Amino acid sequence: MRLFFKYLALHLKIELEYKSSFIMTILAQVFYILAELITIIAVIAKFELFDMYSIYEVLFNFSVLWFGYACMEFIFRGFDLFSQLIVSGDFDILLIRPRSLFIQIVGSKIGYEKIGRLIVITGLFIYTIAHLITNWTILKALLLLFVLIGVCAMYLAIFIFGAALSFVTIQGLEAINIFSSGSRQVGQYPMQIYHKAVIWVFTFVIPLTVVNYYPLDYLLDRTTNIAYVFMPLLTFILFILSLIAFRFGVKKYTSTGS
Amino acid sequence: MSFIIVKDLNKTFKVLKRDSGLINAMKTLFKREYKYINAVDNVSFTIKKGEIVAYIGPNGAGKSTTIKMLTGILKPDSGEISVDGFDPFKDRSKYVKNIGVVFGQKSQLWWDIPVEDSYLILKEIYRISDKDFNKRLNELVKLLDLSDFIKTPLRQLSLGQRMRCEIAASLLHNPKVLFLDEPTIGLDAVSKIQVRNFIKEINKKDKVTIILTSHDMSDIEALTNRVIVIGHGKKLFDGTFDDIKKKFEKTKKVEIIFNELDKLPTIKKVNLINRTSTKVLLDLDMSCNTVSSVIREYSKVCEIEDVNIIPTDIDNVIVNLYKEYDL
Amino acid sequence: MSGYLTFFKSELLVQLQYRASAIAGLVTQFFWGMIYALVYTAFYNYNHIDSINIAQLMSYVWLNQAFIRIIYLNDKDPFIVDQIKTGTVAYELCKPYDLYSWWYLKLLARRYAATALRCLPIIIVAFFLPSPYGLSLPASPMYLLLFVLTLILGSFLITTINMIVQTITFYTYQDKGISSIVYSIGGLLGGFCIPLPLMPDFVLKIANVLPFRYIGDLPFRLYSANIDYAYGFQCILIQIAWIVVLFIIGKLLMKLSLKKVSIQGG
Repeated sequence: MRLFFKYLALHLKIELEYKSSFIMTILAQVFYILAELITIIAVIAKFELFDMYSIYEVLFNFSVLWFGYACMEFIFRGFDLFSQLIVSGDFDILLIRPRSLFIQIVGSKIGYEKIGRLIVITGLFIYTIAHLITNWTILKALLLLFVLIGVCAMYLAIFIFGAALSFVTIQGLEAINIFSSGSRQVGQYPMQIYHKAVIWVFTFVIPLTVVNYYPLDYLLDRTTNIAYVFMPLLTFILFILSLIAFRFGVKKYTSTGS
Repeated sequence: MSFIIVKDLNKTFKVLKRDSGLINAMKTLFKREYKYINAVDNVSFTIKKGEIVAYIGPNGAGKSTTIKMLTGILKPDSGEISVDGFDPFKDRSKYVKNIGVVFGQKSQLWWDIPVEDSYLILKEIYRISDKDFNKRLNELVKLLDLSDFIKTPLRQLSLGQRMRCEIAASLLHNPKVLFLDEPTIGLDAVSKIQVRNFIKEINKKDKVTIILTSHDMSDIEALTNRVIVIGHGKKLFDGTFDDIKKKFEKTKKVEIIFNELDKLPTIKKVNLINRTSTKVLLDLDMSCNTVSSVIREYSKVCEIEDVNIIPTDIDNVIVNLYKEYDL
Repeated sequence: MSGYLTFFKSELLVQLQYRASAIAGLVTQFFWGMIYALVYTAFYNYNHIDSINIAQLMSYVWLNQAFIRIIYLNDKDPFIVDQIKTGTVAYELCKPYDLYSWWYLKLLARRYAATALRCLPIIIVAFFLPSPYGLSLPASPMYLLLFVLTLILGSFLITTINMIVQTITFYTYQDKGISSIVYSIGGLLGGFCIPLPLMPDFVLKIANVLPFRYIGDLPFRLYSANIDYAYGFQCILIQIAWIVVLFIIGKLLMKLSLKKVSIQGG
C-alpha cells in the first residue's frame, strides 16, 4: 500500500512536468463525457422515449458505467496500457524486482487525466440517486455500494483480460474495446428497450445487467427480492477468471520470452 | 566453491517463418510455418564469487536468452541453474533481491522525473531501510560522481550520465550479482572508461560477482580475463583472454629496428609491410613462425637495436574466432 | 507519385504482417456495427423519426465501420510524433523534399493501407445480414459515385486536420492535450459517436459550420440518399473549400514551426 502511494505521487509529478497538456487533456475528457451525456438525452428525446422511464434512470445507467470505467482507468490504467510494457520490453524489468507483478503493473501508469471525469461523474451519480430513490433502506444503500464495487470489478476484469491477451498478441488489442466501450454504448440507454437476446448476452458474456439493469428494479421497488441486492457482486466471477487468464499469460511469457 | 552453477542448460524457441514480398505476406495471412531454434544448447559453466565474467557472441547467439534465464525472467526447458543456492526461476521472488540488472537499451528509471526520485521509488520497491539507503546512495553518488545531475530529470541527461545513473540504480539494494547487458553501448570514450573503472571498483570493494555482455572487446579486455564465448546456442570457448589470443591470433605484427641492413632474410610466411633504412614492419603468420625465430633470422644478417611487438587488435582475434566456428 | 505508391505498398506490407491485427480489426469493427445496429433498431421499435429512416441509418452504421480507417479522426504517425518530440526532425529538414507533402502522403497511405484489408469483408457480411440490421444497396449508381468521391475527399480533409494537429506538437512537444480536444469535438460533431441525424437541431447547427461532418457524415448519407443531390453538391463545395483552407493553414503553420526548429537548432 505504501508503494502504491509512492507510485501515485510519482505519476502526479510526471504529469505536472507537462502542465498545459495535462490540463487540456482533463478539460477535453470532461467536455467529452458531458457531450456524450447530452447527446444520449437528445437521442432519447428525439425518439420520444421519456414516457417509458424517467431521466434519472438514464442518468443512473450512465453514471454507474462511467464511474466504474473512469475509476478503473484512473487507478488501473497500467493494466489498460499493459501491451506497451510488453512491446517496450519493460515487462522484463518488472520481473527482476521483488514485488508482486500486480502492484508493479498498477504503478507503471496512473491515469491522472481521468480525474476530471471521475469528479464530474461522481457528482452526477450523487445527484441522480438523491432524486431517483425516494424511500431509503439500508439494503438499498448496500446495493448502491455493491453496484459501484461491481462495476469497477467488471471493468478491471476487462482490462486484465486485455493485458492477458497481449501476452499472446499485441496486435489485436483493439478487440478489447468491444467489451469496455461496447458494453458502455449498450448500457447507457435504459436496457428494457432491447431484445431479450441482447439482455442475455449482456448478462452472461459481459455481466453488464447485474450492475445497471436488475439493481434499478430493486431501487425503484419493482421487486423486493433480496437476492437482487447481492447481484452486482457476480462481476467478481469475471474478475477471478481474468486473473487466471493473466497468470496463464505470465506463464507463457516466461517460457517463450515473447 | 562455485557461486553460480549452470549445468546442461537448454532453451528452444518456436519462431514464425517469414518471407519477403507481398505475395508471401499474403500467404502467411492464412498459413503459417514455424521453425525451431535452439537458442541455448546444452550450456554449462561455473562462476566463482567475486569473479567478473564476459559473456560474448555475435547477435542472436543466445547471450540474452542465457541472461534472461540467469535473472529468472525465462524458464529453462531443461538443465539446472543455481545462483548462491537459488534457482532463479523457481525462487524468483526471493532471488531477485540479490541481483542487479542493467539493460543497456532499456531504462529502469523514470524518464520525466529527477533521478533521485526514481531512486526513492526503488528504495520502496526493494524495501531498503532509510539508514542503508542513505549510506549506499552516498557511496554510489561519490563513486559514480552523480552529484551534479542527480536532481535533474533523466530525459535531460547525456547517454553517459544516464548509464551511470542506471548502474547506481541497480546497485542500491546491494546485490551479490550484477548483470550488465551492453553497459557501454553508445557511450563516448570518456564515459566508457568511467563506467569501466566503476565496474572494477564495485567488484573489488563489494565482492560483487559480475556477468557482462558486450560487443565492445576493449570493454571486456579492460574488465576481465575470463571469457565465455557462445555461438548458435552452444558454448564454444571458456577461458582467459590470453588463451583466446594464443589460439586465434593468426598473425602478429613485429617492428624490428636496426643499424643497417643490406639484404632481407627470406623467411617463409612472413610478409614485409613496410621498410625504411633503419626499420622493417613484418606480419608473421603464427602457424609456422614464432617471434623469437624471426628475430633469430634477422640477427644473423644485421644488428638489431630494438624490437616492438605491436599489440593485436582484439576485435580481429574475435573475428577469427567467430570465423573458425562459422558464426 | 511513385514515392506515394512505394509508401502505400510498404504500409500494406506492414499491415499484412500482422495477421492477428487484421483479423481483430475486422472482428472489432463488425461487433461495433452489431452493437450500434442493435441499439438503434431498438429505438425504431418504439418510434420513427423524420430525419433518417432505419435502412439509411443502418447503412450509415455499417459504412462507418467498413471505412473507419479511412476517415478515422485521431490518426498520427507515431514515428513522426516521436521525431518531433526528440528533435530528430531536424534531420528531415536536410532531405530534398517538401516535408508537408511527405508527411501528408505518409498519413494518407496509412489510412488506405489499413482500410484495404478491412472494408470488403465487413461490407459483404453486412449486406447479408437480415433486415433491418444490414447494409442496403446504394440509392442509385449516381449516389454511389458521389459516396466514393466524397469519401476520398473526406480522407483528404481529415489528413489536413491531422497535419495541423501534428504541427502544433512542434510548439507544445506533447500531442496529447491538443489532439484530445480537437478529436473529441470532432468525434461528436462529425457523427463518429452518434450519427448526426439522431442529434438535436442545435447540435447540427454547430456541426454545419465546422469541418468534421464533411469527413464521414456526408458520404455515408449520400450513399443512401439521405442527402439529396442539391444539398449534396452544396456540401461537396463546402468540403473542397475546407480542404483548401485547412491545407493552406497547415502549410503556413509548418513553415512557422520549421523556422522555430532551425532557430533552436533542433
